[in-house]
Amino acid sequence: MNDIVFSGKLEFLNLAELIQLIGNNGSTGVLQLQSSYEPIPAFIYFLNGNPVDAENGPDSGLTALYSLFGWQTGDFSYSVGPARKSKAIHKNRMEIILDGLRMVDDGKVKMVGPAPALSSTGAAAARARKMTQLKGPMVDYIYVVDEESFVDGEVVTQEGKHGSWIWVVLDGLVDIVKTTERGPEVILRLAEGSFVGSFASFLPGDHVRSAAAVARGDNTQLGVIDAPRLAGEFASLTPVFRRLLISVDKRLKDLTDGLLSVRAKQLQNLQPSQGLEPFIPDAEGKEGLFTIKNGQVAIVRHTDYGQIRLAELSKGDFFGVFPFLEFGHEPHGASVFASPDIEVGEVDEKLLSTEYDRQSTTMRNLIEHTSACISITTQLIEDAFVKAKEGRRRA
Amino acid sequence: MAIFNLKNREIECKIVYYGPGRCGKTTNLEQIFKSYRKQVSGEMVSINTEGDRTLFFDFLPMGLGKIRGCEVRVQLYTVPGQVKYKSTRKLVLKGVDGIIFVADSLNVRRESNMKSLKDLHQNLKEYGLSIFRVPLVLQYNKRDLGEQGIPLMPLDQMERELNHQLKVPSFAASAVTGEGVGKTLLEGLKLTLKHLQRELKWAQ
Repeated sequence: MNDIVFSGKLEFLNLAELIQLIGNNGSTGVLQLQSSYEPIPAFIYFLNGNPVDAENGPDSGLTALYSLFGWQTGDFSYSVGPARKSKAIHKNRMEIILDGLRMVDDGKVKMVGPAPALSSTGAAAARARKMTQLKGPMVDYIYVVDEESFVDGEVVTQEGKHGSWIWVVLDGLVDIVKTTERGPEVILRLAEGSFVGSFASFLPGDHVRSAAAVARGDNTQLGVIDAPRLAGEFASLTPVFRRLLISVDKRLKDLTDGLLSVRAKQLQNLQPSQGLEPFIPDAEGKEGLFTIKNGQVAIVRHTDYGQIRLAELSKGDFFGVFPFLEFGHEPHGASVFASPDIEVGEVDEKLLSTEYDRQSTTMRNLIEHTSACISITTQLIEDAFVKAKEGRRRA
Repeated sequence: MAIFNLKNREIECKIVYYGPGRCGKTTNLEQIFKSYRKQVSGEMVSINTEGDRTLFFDFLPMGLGKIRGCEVRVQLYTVPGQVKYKSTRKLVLKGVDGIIFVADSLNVRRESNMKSLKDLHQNLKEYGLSIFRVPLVLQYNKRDLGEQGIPLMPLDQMERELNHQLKVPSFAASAVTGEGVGKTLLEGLKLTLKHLQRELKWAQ
């Protein structure tokens, strides 16, 4: 039974085509499918060209066979051999194929494979985004203790200097600028409602600014946030909530570094590390929020031009489905890869959600702002990455 | 692309019924299935897709002869009209050998006919095929409804609007009564086989 007569990639010949091919041949044997996104291989048994049974994890028969139409990538191998005694599937093979594909199109079959990039990556869209200003939610004036005016080019905060003040943009624009080998580079342009400063300010010890903030336009009004009050609020959060916010902040930092790398054409810095495998929480592939207890995790976006490592996470970091943050990474806009020694703990999203709802408007705004920064920086990275790759292709 | 099944000495080709939703694609296939029962091998597969059913069965055209000693087996399909049935459409249209476009004669369906034809053009292009080169037959369906006083487009208007550039064979039909169904299919088969012969230089 181990004589493989035919093997290849599902990306090239999909399941529908394979079943037709084996059907045309009238062959009897076993088709084995293996996906790097599933813990165990799946099997389809053929008798005279017709599928008679299938196994996929705990499922068998028609249910298993239909679920396999969702496997977009992977390896297949077909071995010719004696027929299976049991016949669990009695449907016509064309009916199975057409019904299986219909279920895929109706969204009734779970898709297994790399997560696709979320948005279009046209050059025009990229240009439009380039000048995108990040606007924040409505300003909550209760936390604004003072207002300051800045003229065009005036520095609000300096990169590398200590400081834990936080501002909210009331009017005008602020550029977030990082010094690179090629001179200062604008990373983001903040508009009304956005914050200058991050959660890192609340951590004990001196906080060093990771970027400079420079006012743009003639009359930029910033509101000074009551930082001690916000810091007190931060301190009274549960440890898991605090760690989550710090982890999200770290992810934004990773992304900012990634953006600078791709702009400097150092695309190798965006390659996922070697030896990482797709992360599968358990046999059921349950989605949830996880915290890393041991090992490394990479958040990877797939584009037509290859993979981009968006963030690298380690012990204490969080990944998965975030209950109140939507920045378009995993599970739908990016895939999770983990080192072989990965150990994770599951986090109760409901408790976090409840805690989030209890926070002040300003705290929630700051969290939302960080999430928006992540999603916009991700988009900028992807655009720059695609542009760099296209440039290379043309060259 | 026709498939050569050397084991069974068969050439398998694919003819697809295309057209706007509820134009009578499935009725056409149901008629063929009923009227040519002897030439049908196996069961008719019917999938309930939103808006329209997707049908499939194998058909053995008789009287058209063998090609190089091989029997010709035709797979007849309908395509689900809804945009979201991408995977199904891809499977059905990939490697299609001939197309029968069923147009709805109802006055009110004038635009949906044009839209669907344009859509076919786009879809074929995606699979590297040209609507001007693929064997194609037009059918103006539901002619029987005129007798019931339902406003229909005159045949010459449909011909002008749909077939002006294509210039392919066209037939008036009434799929419900079966009129014109056989003629349309026969012409589709002939064109498809001729095209295959030409393309593969069988005819010498």
